[in-house]
Amino acid sequence: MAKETVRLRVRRQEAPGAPARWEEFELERTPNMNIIFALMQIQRRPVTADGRATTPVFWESNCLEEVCGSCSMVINGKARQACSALVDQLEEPITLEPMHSFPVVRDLAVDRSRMFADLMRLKAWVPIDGTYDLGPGPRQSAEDQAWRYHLSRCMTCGVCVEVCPNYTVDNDFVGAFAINQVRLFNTHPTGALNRNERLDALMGPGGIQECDNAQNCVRACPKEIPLTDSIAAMNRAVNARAFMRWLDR
Amino acid sequence: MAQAERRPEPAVGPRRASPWMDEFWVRRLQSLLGLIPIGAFLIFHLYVNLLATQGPTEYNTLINTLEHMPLLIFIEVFVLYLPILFHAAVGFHIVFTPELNVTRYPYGRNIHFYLQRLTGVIAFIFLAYHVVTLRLIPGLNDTHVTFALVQSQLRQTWILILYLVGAIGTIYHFANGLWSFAIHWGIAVGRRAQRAMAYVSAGVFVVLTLVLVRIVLAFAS
Ligand code: HEM
Repeated sequence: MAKETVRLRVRRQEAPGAPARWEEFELERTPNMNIIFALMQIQRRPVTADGRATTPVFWESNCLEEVCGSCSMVINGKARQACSALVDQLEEPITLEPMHSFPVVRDLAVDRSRMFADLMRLKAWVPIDGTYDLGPGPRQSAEDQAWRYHLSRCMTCGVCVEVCPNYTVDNDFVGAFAINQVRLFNTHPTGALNRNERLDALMGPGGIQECDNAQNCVRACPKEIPLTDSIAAMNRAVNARAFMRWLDR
Repeated sequence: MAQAERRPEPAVGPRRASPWMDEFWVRRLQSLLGLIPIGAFLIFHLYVNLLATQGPTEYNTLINTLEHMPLLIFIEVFVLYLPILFHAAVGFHIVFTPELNVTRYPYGRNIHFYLQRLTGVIAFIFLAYHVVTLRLIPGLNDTHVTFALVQSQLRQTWILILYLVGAIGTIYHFANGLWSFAIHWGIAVGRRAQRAMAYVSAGVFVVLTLVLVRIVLAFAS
C-alpha cells in the first residue's frame, strides 16, 4: 500500500531580510496531490511534524494550471511551478525554498517586480496609445503567428532567471525572458516600428551582453519557450544595430 | 474610486554605462579577441611546434628564423600580450561574477559554462609560466630557445604535467569558446545550428589535443 503521509521541509522567513529557518511538516497524502494542495493543508492546520504550532506557510499562487507564473519556487533544489509539481513524483522529504534571485517577501513568496521593471526598460510592448485612431495594423501570415505564438507564452514566472548563473539578486542583467520578449515584439509587424528603441535598451547596462550561454534557462522554462534561440537571434540583431549605429555616426 | 496601491520602486535599476567604453563593446571586444588574434595564434603556434617531430635541426632553424622576424616585439605586444591581457582582465571579471550552480543544475551546457571559466584561469596560469620561462628569461639572458631547452624542461615530470594540463585546458577553452562565440555573434541561432556548432567545437578540441600530444611526445622521447 502507498504511504499515508507526506514529509515536507519548508524554508521559513518572516519578513524581507529576516533570518531564515527550516520547518518540517507531516501531511496526509491524498491522490494526485500537488505542492499547492500540500501548502493548503498546512494553512488549515499549521502544526509542524514534531507537534509544535506555527504560523501558516505563505506562498503565492493563482491559476493552478501553469499559465499565471506566480507559484514559482525551488522544489527539491530545482526552480519550477508548484502547481504542476506532483507529490507522488518527488523524493521525500520534499524541500521547498523561495527563489533566491529575488528578494523574499515572506516564506515562499518573492518580489518579482524587477522583471516588470526590466520589461519596461526594454519597452517590451507595442505602443498604440495616442490621441487619434491609428487604424488596423498590418496582416500577419498564419505561419508567422504560429511561430511567434511559442515566444508569446511567457508568464514572467522567473524560473529562467532563477536558474541563470549570471542573474543575481544584486546585479542588473535583464535575463532570458526579457530578451525573448524583445524578440517577440520586434518581430511583430506593428511592434517592429519601435525595433531600434528596444535594441538600444537591450545593449545598455545589464543588457544581452551579460548572457554567457549557460543555457539553463531553456532547460528550466515551464513553457518550453526557445529562449536560447531568441538570445542568439537578438545577439545578431543587436550586433548589426551596434555596428550600423557606429558606422553611420 | 479606490486609489490604486502604488507599485514599489524596483529594487534594482540600471547602472550608468561606463564612461570610457560601453559594457556592450567591452564584452564584444573580449569575445572577438579570444578568436582573433588569440585563438588564431594558438592554432599557428601549435602548427609551428609540430615541426619538433621532424627533429632538432629543423626545429632550431625555424625558431631561429621566427626570432629574427621584423617588428617582432611590436607584433608580440600588440597582437599577443595586449589582447591576451585585455581578454584575461575582462575574463577574470566574468569568472568571478556569476553564481555558479553546476551542482544544482548539472546540465551539459552549464557544465561547459563552468569549465570555460575554470580553463580560462588555467590558461592564465599556464601562459604566464610558459611566457616567463620560454620567452622572458631567455630574452633577458640573450640566449636562444632551442629544441634542447624545451626538451630539458619537458623531461621533468611536474613540468610535463603542467604542460599537459595547461595546454589541454587552453585548447578546451578555445574550442568551447568557438561555440560560445557563434552564439554571441548571432552566427548559430537555431537549435540545430547551435548543436552543429557544438560538434565543430568538439572536433577542434580533439584535433588540437592530438597535435599537442604529438608535440609533447616529440620533445619528451
Ligand atoms: C590562449 C589563450 C586564450 C584563448 C585562445 C581564449 C579564447 C577564448 C574564446 C574564443 C572565447 C569565446 C568568446 C565568446 O564566448 O564569445 C573565450 C571566452 C572566455 N575567455 Fe578566453 N581565451 C584565452 C585566455 C583566457 C584567459 C587567460 C582568461 C582568464 C581568465 C580567459 C577567460 C575567458 C572567459 C571567462 C570567457 C567566457 C566569455 C563568455 O562566456 O562570454 N580566457 N576565450
